[in-house]
Formats: sequence, structure tokens, C-alpha cells
Amino acid sequence: MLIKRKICMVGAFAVGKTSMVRRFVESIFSEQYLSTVKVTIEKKTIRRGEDEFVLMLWDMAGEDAFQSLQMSYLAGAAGYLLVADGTRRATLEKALELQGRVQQTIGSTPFVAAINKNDLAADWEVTEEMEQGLRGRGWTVFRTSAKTGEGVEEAFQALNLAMLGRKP
Amino acid sequence: MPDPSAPPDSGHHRLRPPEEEEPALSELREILFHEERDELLALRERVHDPAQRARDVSEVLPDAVHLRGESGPDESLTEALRPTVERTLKESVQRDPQVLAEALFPAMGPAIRRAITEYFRTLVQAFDQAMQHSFSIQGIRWRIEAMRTGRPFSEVALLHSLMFRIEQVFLIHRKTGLLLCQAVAPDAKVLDPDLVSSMLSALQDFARDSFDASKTDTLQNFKVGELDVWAEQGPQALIAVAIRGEAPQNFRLKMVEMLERLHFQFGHALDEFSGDPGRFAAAHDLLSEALVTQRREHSLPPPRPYFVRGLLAAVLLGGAWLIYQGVQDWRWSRLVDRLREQPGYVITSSGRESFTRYYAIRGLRDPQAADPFVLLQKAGLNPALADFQLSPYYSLDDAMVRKRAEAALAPPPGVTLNVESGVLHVRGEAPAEWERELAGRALMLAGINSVDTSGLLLPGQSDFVRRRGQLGGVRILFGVGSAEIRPDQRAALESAAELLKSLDELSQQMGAELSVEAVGHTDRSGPDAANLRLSQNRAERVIQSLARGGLRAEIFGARGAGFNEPLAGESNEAERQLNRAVTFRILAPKPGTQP
Repeated sequence: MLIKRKICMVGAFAVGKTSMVRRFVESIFSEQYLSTVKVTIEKKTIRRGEDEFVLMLWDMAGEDAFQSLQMSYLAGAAGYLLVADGTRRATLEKALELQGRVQQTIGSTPFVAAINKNDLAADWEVTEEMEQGLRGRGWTVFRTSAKTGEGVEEAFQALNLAMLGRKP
Repeated sequence: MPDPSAPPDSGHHRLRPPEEEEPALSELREILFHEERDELLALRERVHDPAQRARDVSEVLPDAVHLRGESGPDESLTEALRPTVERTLKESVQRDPQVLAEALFPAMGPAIRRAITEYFRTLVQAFDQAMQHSFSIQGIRWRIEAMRTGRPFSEVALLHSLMFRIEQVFLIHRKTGLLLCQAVAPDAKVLDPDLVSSMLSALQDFARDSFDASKTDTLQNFKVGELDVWAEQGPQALIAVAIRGEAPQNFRLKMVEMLERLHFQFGHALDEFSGDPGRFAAAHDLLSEALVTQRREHSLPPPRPYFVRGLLAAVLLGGAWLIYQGVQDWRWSRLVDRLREQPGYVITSSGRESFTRYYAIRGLRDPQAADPFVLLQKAGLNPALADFQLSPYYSLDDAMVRKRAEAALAPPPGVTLNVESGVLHVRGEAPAEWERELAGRALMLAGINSVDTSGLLLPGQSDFVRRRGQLGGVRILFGVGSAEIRPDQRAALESAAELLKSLDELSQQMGAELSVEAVGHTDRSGPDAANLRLSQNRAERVIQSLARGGLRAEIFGARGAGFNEPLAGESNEAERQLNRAVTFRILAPKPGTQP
């Protein structure tokens, strides 16, 4: 059976959202879309047993001081990947804030948190305690590296499962 | 409470069977089913009371309808309700249209506006295309086809002018932007339909957010590579088509129609969509209908309206120019005819110089011939457009030769020249020196073979000749045998004196010396010798008398002719008197009798 899902990549500026999806997908849209329309679309297919899941990844421009998240793009999303940069603690705080706003906008929706740039362990700022704190909130948290690919596939699989749990 | 002992009404027949029942059984029944019977009676009452039934149904009806709707797509409830609803609406409108009008007003306004906008957009497009086709040969052919097939011209034109291919048709879930179904033209280079769908959806959001447009305004076109993507949005889904080439605006109507049909057919599935596109596989056939491929018959684009209009204007201008040129050509050819009639012209060829306004006239022209530009202006033609290529020549036409002679010989006033067959006839008075050179100069001119000067006089000669004639008629008469001037002859003598005086003057003008002979005459009577003497005396007497009157004596000579040169017969005295006289004869000069 073929199932299609809309998924949003949400996170602060330069946390590596685009890099995470670029490892796996090809896009027909240029980078220009991301800067002007503030979103670019990529596609990722996941197999699970007999089922094939087509995930349409809405790679949304990261939020920073200069641009805010385009909330209207969240409409209809079946789940989202909340991305933070492990080497910048502020991005994790941003992720927390964004999660609240997303939930406010589209309601309680399955998501998975990815703390990216695990390859730069030396510069790591996010502590075990902080991670545990997130898990304590009931979050599913993955350490990922868009550079090496570590944890990325697992994060998407977990998100997919979470979505199945909600709407099998 | 009903009384069990008495039958309350006919409704109790079945519970109170006929009389054949045993009273004991009846009693037992009464004991056993007393409570149930009361309940049954109450229920029956409830069932048979329409007001109560209505109350009961009203309590469950909304839930019942809701339950029926939830149990899945089922048309039976709709079918059952439809006639009533339709009748109700109809009746409501008949009774008071205002009620429904007010209820529908918020929905009708935007719907009508949108329909009108769409209509005008397609109308303008159709008009543009009609303009394009109306003037072309192709357009005429399509018009004939429309008449032949009975289809409207716009439809025929549309069919022929489609020069595009719909390569992909997408049905997209509006809320999630996910692709539900797609149809692809054979051999089309396919865009990833999932990506296109999502991106289109994202762009719609972006456009709405960025340009602060209302919810109903949507992004209708965008470009991916060389493909145009058109989108039409409905409440739950949108249709997008990837177009190669240029599709007519009318195609949008087709998309809207398709979208309406899809909403009708899949409304429920669209509402419930949760990621499984399998339910929309049936939409494929409908989407495939939009995969139109249309190529133009000719590779050349149809003439653009402005080109056609330009062509028409050019044809009209060209026609006007040709007519104008025709009139001009006719006027020029008339001028040429007139030039041919003119002496001193030989026209060898004439005509318009190719692709110019200039008119060339070639040939020969005598320098003395009429000025061609004067003739041109008389004919009302523009001299600036004339290109005369006329070589000079000498015409032997008499009129031309005469003109040439007049120009070359400069005849003094009073002298006329005429040329007939090469002979120059000169008439009038001219100074002697002009006359002397005349023949030599005239014969040098082309066309003059000889000169006739018989009609040419020196200045004064004609006067001289006239007065000489008058003088010839003057007679001074004498008495019989007398040489004395009679008083009655004074007047004759005076007129003779006057004539002689002017003759003397004219002679001097002509450079000649006047020589006059006064001749005396007698009648027959008397001896000849005496008559000769008498006549001599008479002549001398007249000369003396004239000399005394102021005339120079040296111009005169006297001669007595006696009766040898009688002036009249001698039949009577009157004739004899005429013979007793003196007459005058000019001996010199003698103009008019010699060249």
C-alpha cells in the first residue's frame, strides 16, 4: 500500500535541515525557492514491509532574527522533524519555542527531534541532561549527522512510525 | 387510568377477545397480565396518537440522519429527501423569493463575480483570436468549415489554433498539497508529480501570504523549465496541468469543469483523505481527458491582427496610389501628345521611370520651339517631376524656320518675314544697310534656300511712290495761246509745290537727288513750231513760279512737247483745255521699279 505524507522540517537558522534531506533526495527546485518562497520541497520514500511511504518534505527556511517561520506552510502536515544544532545550545531553545508554536498552529501532531551535527562532538554544547529533559517531555530525540548520515534514516523512520501510531 | 372492567373503546378488541372466552380464563388473564396490559394500552395509545409520534420522531431524527451520513457514501437518504427539498425550495421561491435571495446573497455575490470575470477573460481571449483569424485566408477557410459543419466559428478556430500539449494533469489534495492522482501524456518528459504538487501548494500559500490576497484568490500559473503549469483550485482539491506551448485561455474553463466533476465524484474521499491516494485511482480516466495534444496545421504563425490591418492599409494605399498614378500617367501622356503636335519637337519615347514619380520625355527639340515647362504648367503638371531629355536640332518646319530667321536676322519694326517651302519672303521698309546684309545672312540659316525682297522698301520709299503718283495727276491749265499762270490755277500750283517739296525731302532721305521734268503741252490749233515754243514757255513759267515759291530751281528741267504728247482728245473745248497744260514727271530717283 502506498501512503503519502506531508512532513515539515522545522528548526532555527543553519541547523542543517536542508543538508539532512539532501543526503537522500533529489529536488527539481532550485535553492532560490528557499530564499524567496521560504520553502523548498523534497521527497523521500521509505519502505516498511509491504507498505511504501512517500514523505513530502517541506524544507522550511530556518527562523532567525531576520526571518520568521512561515506558519501557513504547516497546514496539512502529518508530522514534522524538529531540528536543532548540537553545537549551538540556542538552537535547542529555539526548537522548544518552535514546537510550541507549531502545536498551537496545527494542533498536536507527531514529531521527532533531531539534534544535528553529531560529527562535531568536540564543539558539542547540548548536555545529556538537556536531552533527558526533552525525553522526559515525551519527545523522541535523535542525534544525527547530516554529514555522515548517522541517525538521519532512523529519525525519519521513527517519525513515520509515530505518524502511523496516530493514523494507522 | 383505564378501567379494566369496562371496555373503554373499540381498540380493546384483541386484548378482550370475543364472548366465547371463558370467564375464568378471562379472570386468570386479568390476574396474570394486569400490569403488562396497562403498559400495552399505554403504548398503543402512544402509537396511535399522531402528536405523540411526531414528538418521538423529532427527538431522534437529527441523530438518525447523522448516523446515516456517517455510515459511508450512500445516496438513498439524499434521493429520498431530494424531491421534497426541491419542492420546498420551489414553493419558497414562488411564495416569497426574497427569503431565499437573502439567504443566498453572501454566496451568490462572489460566485457571480467569479463567473463573470471568467467569462469576460475567455471572451477577450476569444475576441483576440477571432481578430487574428478574421482576416487571414486560414480564417476564411475556418469560417467555411464552421458553416459546413454547423459548429460555431469560435469553436472551429479554437480547435485549429490549439498549438500546445497538455503533458501532465495533477489532482492535488488542497490541505496537504499531496498528489492524489495524475495522468501523463505518452512520451512526455515527466516532472516528479509529488514534488510539483507540493511545490504548487507551497507557492499558493506563499502567494496568498505575500500578496495579502483573499482566500479565494489563487496562484494560477507558474513555470517549471519550459513548461507552463496552470492551476485551478476548488474547495478541497486543485487541478494542475503542465503545458508545453501556448494553450488558449478557454482551456481554463475545461479545468474548472473537471474540478467540479471531481469534487462531485470524490467529495467524501477528499474530505477524509489521510495519505492513501488509492481511492483516487478512479479519477485517472477523467484526468486523462485533459491530455489534449493539438498541433497547428501550418508551421507559420497566423498573421497578427496588426499585420493584417497593416496589410489592408497597404493594399488600400497601394490602390489609391495606383489610381493617382493612372490619372497622372494619363495627364502626362496628353502633354506628350501636345508636344508632338508642337512644331520643333520630335518625341521619340516617353514614360514613367521605374519605381519613381518622375516622368521621362526623350527626343529632339528645336531651340526656337515653345518652352516645354510653359506647356507643362499649362497642363497643371508638376515641373519638378519632369525629366526632359531633349537634344537640340534644327527643324525644317516653315514656322520654325521663320522663327529662326526672326531670331537671327532681327528684322526692324514694320518688316515681316514669312517662309514658304524654303523661300524667305521679306516685306516692309528696312534701312538700306539691313537690306544689303539680308540675303547673305538669311541664306546661312538652315531651311532657307532663297530670299524674296520684292516686298522690301527703303524707309520713305513708299511715301515717295505715293506722292509721285499724286504729283502725276496734277495739271496746271493755261488759256488759248497763253503762257501766263491763270489765277484759277494757283491752287493746283500750290498742291504741286507741296508734293514736290516733300518728294525733294524724301529723296534726300533716300540719299538721292530729285530730278523733275515739267512738261508743257498745247492743243492742236496753230502751227507746230509755234506750239512747241508756247509749250516750252508754259513749262518754264511754271518752274519759275515754283522756284519763286521756295523750291530749288536746280531740280527742275523744262520741256515743251507741243501737241506731240496730247493729254486728251480734241473732240470738244473741254478736252482741248486739258491739253493746254503743264504736267510733272519724276526722272530720279525711281524707287519701286528697281531693286
